[in-house]
Amino acid sequence: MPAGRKPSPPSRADRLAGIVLPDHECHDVQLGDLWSERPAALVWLRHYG
Amino acid sequence: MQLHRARTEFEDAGATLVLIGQATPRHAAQFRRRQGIQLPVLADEERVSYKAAGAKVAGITDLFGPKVIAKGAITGARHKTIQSRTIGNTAQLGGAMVVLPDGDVAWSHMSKDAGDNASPEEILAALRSLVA
Repeated sequence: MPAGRKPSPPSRADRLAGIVLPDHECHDVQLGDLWSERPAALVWLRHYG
Repeated sequence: MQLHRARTEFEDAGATLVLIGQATPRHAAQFRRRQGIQLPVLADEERVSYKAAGAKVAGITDLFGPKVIAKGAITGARHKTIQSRTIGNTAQLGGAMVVLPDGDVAWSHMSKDAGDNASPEEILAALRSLVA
């Protein structure tokens, strides 16, 4: 996203669902698994600090 | 960290709470240790999930505008915290989102500037209204 453009959250999490990220122990987590059984609150941090 | 302190309330609301940061798993592990938190922290060095979530990349006034500086000072004083060195893209803002099992994004608050963050109470209120 170009700098300064307004945030644009999606109405559905389909693009997010397939993303796989490592956790703090290097275990891969597919984001879609986080909400497959119950709601998930995802918080994107600006920084670790 | 406020979210860590509210973690049992998220559990009671029937939700999974996960943090995502823009660095490596090693940085995520250091962050957990330093902050003393037990929440899972995912590492998104390439910021792919930030992009998919529609998170904003800040302009200069979104980072250093007077309102942002003032808000940061107030938050730091209130919670007795000091922002440490930023790892990753310093202009990348974050946000919060509640996703339901059917994949609907039921609520979101993506930051408009560096001082615009949803509080745990706001996220919890959204969750509780969805499951009520």
